[in-house]
Amino acid sequence: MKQKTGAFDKGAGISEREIDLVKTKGESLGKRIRMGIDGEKILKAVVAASLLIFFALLQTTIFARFRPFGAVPDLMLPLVIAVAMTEREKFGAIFGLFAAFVIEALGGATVFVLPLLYMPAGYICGILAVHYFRDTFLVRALFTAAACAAHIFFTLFVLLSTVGGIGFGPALTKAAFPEFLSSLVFSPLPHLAAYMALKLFHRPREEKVSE
Amino acid sequence: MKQFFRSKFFYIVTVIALILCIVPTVFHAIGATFLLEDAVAGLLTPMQKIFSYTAEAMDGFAAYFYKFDELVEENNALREQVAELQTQIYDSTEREEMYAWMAGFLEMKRVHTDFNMLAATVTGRESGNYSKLLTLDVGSGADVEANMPVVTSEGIVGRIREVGHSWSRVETLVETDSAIGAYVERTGDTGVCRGSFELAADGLLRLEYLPADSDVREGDRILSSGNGSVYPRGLIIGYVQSVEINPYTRGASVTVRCAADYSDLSRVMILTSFDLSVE
Repeated sequence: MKQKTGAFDKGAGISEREIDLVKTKGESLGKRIRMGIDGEKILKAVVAASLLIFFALLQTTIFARFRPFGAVPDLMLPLVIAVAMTEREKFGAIFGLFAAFVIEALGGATVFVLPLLYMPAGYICGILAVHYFRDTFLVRALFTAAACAAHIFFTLFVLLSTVGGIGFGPALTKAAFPEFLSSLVFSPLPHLAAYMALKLFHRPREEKVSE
Repeated sequence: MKQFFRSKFFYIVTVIALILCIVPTVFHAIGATFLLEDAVAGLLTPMQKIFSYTAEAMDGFAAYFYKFDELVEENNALREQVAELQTQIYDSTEREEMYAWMAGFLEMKRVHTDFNMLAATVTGRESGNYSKLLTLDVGSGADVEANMPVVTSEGIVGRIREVGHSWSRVETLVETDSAIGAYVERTGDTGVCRGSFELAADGLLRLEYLPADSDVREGDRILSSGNGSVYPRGLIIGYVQSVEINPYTRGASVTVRCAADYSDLSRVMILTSFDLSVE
């Protein structure tokens, strides 16, 4: 078996079960495995990073200019959720950390709080999607809505603690709620992009659970 | 579920998340730049610039749709502004024309210091084909009286024949049977300029009663002689257009082209007072 697969020996971190999968899953998966497990992880990380950068730029330029519903939508949070639901909790949590840091750095934030939102969001959604729920449109919508709702508290916290002379009411109605609405409306965008981009690396739920 | 939050991985990422929150915030608080943040921002800023250009381009295009009301409003405001500016340009052009027109009278005023003039606008013309009457927009309300001479900077137009409160009617020189004492500027020969029905349409007059030996020539300037108490002396009537010798009387039959162009009259001056004794 090792001789047939060439580079895919134990040193490359491939298991016997995965090599069997190559045989049964057909050519598309075969292409994936031919790159090696490490190669696949790297490619996956590159794709995810590209998505992250693209949506970070989209959020801080185009959406920051148009401000639909009077607020810049948070595209990174739905992206973190989308990635976590596809790639499990660990990848989701790490991706959440990176996403939070990039968007805070790019957006010119003075108080960094988003890592505390994105990381748990990625981690929890990864767990729930793999172990408790099926990956459906409704589940994705619910997770996104819950995460965006959690974002309201973070926005309020940052606003009330850093911007002087702003009351709770205006902070909620002028910033937090429009942001929630805007994020929710545009959340299908990162979900769809993540689904399409990471489709190549999709594995059945049973496989994810067993890992 | 609980075991996921008790895992080593979760603790590690939580600590990292806390570090990523606290460290940059502290750096910002003390006014320093967090190296990692600087690196991320520095790396992505050029790409951000490209996205910004795209956003600008999209904004310009999208403005046609989402800023429609604003654009309509702006368009209306600009229309009003253009109309206002056009009015200003029109006023300015009119004023300029007025200045140019009045400048023509400066020379007349310099020569005839006794002249008092009143500007008037030609508001109407005789509708028939048998007379050349003009209607002016000033009348007795502006102390206009009958027989006052009406001139342009080129020469005599005619005299006031009728006066209403806010209007007056001018009998032009070419009107049939109108007469004005005249002399040839070059020779000093005197005569009478008369309007005639045949010549009126062409803006011509007939100069009569010239001496038999008069050396009048084409192009000679004909001026008012001041005889008759209506027109002051020295105003231009016109220029000799043709001279014909009558074979029977041996006298000259002279045709004079009026200096004032009746077809293009819009403003005139009424000489409200002048000194007849001044030569």
